[in-house]
Amino acid sequence: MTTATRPKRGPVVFRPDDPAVVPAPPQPQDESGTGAEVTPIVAPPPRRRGLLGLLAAAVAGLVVLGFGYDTALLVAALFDDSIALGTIGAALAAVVAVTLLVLTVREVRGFLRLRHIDDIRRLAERVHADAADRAAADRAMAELDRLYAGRPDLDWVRARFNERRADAADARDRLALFEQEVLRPLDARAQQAIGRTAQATAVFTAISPFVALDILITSWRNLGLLREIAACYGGRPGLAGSLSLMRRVLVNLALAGGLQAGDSFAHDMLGGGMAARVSTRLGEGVVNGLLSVRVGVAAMKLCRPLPFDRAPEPNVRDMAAHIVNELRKRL
Amino acid sequence: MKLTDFTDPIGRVFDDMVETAEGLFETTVRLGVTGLSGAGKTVFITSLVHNLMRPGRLPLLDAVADERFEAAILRPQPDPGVPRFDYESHIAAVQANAPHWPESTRRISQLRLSIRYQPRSFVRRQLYGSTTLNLDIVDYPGEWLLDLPLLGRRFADWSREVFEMCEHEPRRRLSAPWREYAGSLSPDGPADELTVQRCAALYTDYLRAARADGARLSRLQPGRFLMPGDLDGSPALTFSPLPPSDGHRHGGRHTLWGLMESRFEAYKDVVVRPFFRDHFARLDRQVVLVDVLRTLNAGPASVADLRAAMAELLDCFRPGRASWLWPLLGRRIDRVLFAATKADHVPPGQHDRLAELVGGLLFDPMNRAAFLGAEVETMALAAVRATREARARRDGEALDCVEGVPTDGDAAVIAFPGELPASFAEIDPDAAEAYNFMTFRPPAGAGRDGRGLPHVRLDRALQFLIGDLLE
Repeated sequence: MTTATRPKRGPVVFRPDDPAVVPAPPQPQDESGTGAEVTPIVAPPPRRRGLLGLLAAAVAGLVVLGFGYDTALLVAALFDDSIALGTIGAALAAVVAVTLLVLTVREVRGFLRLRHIDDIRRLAERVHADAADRAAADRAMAELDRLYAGRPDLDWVRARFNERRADAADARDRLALFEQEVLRPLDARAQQAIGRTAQATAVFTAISPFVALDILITSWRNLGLLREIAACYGGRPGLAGSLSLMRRVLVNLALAGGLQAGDSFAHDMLGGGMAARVSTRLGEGVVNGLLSVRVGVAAMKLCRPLPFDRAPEPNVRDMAAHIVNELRKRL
Repeated sequence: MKLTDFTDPIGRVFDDMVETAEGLFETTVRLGVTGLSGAGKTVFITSLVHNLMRPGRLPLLDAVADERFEAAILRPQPDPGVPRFDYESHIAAVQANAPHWPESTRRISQLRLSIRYQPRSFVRRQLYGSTTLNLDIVDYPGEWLLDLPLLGRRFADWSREVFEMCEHEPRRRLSAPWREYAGSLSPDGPADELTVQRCAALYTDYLRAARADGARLSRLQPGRFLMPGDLDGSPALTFSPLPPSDGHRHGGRHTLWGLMESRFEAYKDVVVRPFFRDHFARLDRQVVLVDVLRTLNAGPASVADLRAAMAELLDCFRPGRASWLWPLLGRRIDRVLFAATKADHVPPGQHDRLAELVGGLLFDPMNRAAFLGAEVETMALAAVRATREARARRDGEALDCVEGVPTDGDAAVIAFPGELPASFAEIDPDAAEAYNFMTFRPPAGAGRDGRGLPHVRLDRALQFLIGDLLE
């Protein structure tokens, strides 16, 4: 027999009224009224930018300083002229300052929310690797509850989930159940958004008179799609958050070779002869539509608080086929 | 070689062909619920039926999750000669005011559950609308299962095996009276019915003692000695192994050896072969239920015995990839689930370990099934969940516990059963100190919310076993 490497924990039986018994298994609070503000679990890692960063920061500082100084001078001059003008000037300056502050806070919070979702996903992956990791499981569940606490549109599905959460065999199954009950409807919503955007991009590209215009419109639409998907899963990023999300999406697509694949794929979908026969414009439209699909699917993976486990990962091919069919009907 | 050795496969192929013809309209799948006595076959089947008829607790079964599952009902089984599985009284036992587990199974029974569902594929949905899947399940006393390996044995080989096993404790101690008596007999002497009866009775006593809670051994053959059914007292059930002796020939039908041997053969022909042919030779899917916890309670000797018994037993089945040639080759079991039952008796954090233990215990049969092309999976499950999660502290250390009403008590207790070993190699010789896996009663008011009985991973198990057929 092998020697025990560590002392085994022997069996023990408690009465329910034993003080050693912890009252109830810690159920995460499921009501929205906890009042807790969403806080990030992990602070965003510091960015290292080197000299260029220093330069940019210095320039930005100078600009802010310049504007501030100018404004201060302006307000002072206005006050010299007349009290009324000065008051108006000061009020406007205050409005600008406060608005800027609010916008910044909002952007930062949007950013943090996205990171928060990343953290939940990381926790869920830990639980998936080891269902006994109770700390990760409890936290992932609590964070998920908090993330969706303020969403009246999800009240019903969340109530259903809460009713059934005790059925789950372990932490892993509980997350699977959450995915099944709460995230699936969101997946469907996100996929609808993707379909809508992809069609709109495709049609617009096909009929737009200038190439430059449709590049602009496509990018704009895709950015909107990103925001819609992120908002759907609870991310609600601001402008900066959306841009950073877009960067990650594009990086993901580039790594997966998704950007180039569009052309040959459109060719497949339309059938060899078809692609040649239809106008170039239509072909470009399809390619742009497919790009939207890819962007959308990549965004779903990045914005979803749980990895695709229970629900099927959205299939780019299926969605694309659907969109091409729609296009054929319309054009 | 017997004639039946040749005709059986032919009959089997014919049966398969008839079913193929039927299968053009409805799919039928035969699920083999395999497990030794006390592994929880009856409760598994009962909970499976209850849950499929009220699919409110099967979120991880895809057909239910996609809302393609329409309804399931019990229908008359295809085999009119076999009693119907007494679902109603089993469920009544579990849902009674004083809930208790169904009594141990004494005879074979069968049921057919028909599931109506929408196919996932658009084309099939347009062609057929909703479709029916028939799930045929057989319940039987687990003791009988270990007769299957006897089919490949001759009396002399089997006798030698039994006596070899009896050289180790605890069998050595338990079998002493029988071995003493059998040793005093002369195999070449004339056969006397009373002697034979006494020998068989002593052998049966030994089997009973070996099954009892103290030893909890698994490899007990022939199974009908423990659970005779309607064959009690018949000659086919009145024999015992005889001490192997080299050198002399056991010729003659009228010697003791000759009589025992002919009865052994009769047992195989009358009892085992029909059982195997009618219920096990034509399975499509198989779930192997193993009660690891109770075996662990009894110690390493019991575990080793369980391992040997399961290996020997699972050798009798024919796993492999189902091929389009199957009307010619016979059916194959193309998915096998190896499940540790009663997972609700340990806290959820230990479920993975429980599944790994089963994987380690049944490694060889699993490997063989996988090699032959069957899909295999291990899982820790509980057909009926009798406990809840709870937490307690001891010496400042948090313990994940389970809370339930023990079978021998009236009030709920919160139990920490000890930590499962990481593998069977690490079982403490004095396991009694290390674990205490209690047994719990069925939960009060189970399934009264209109959904199925609470369970642990029954939906995952179903998804693996029949999920692909509900596509």
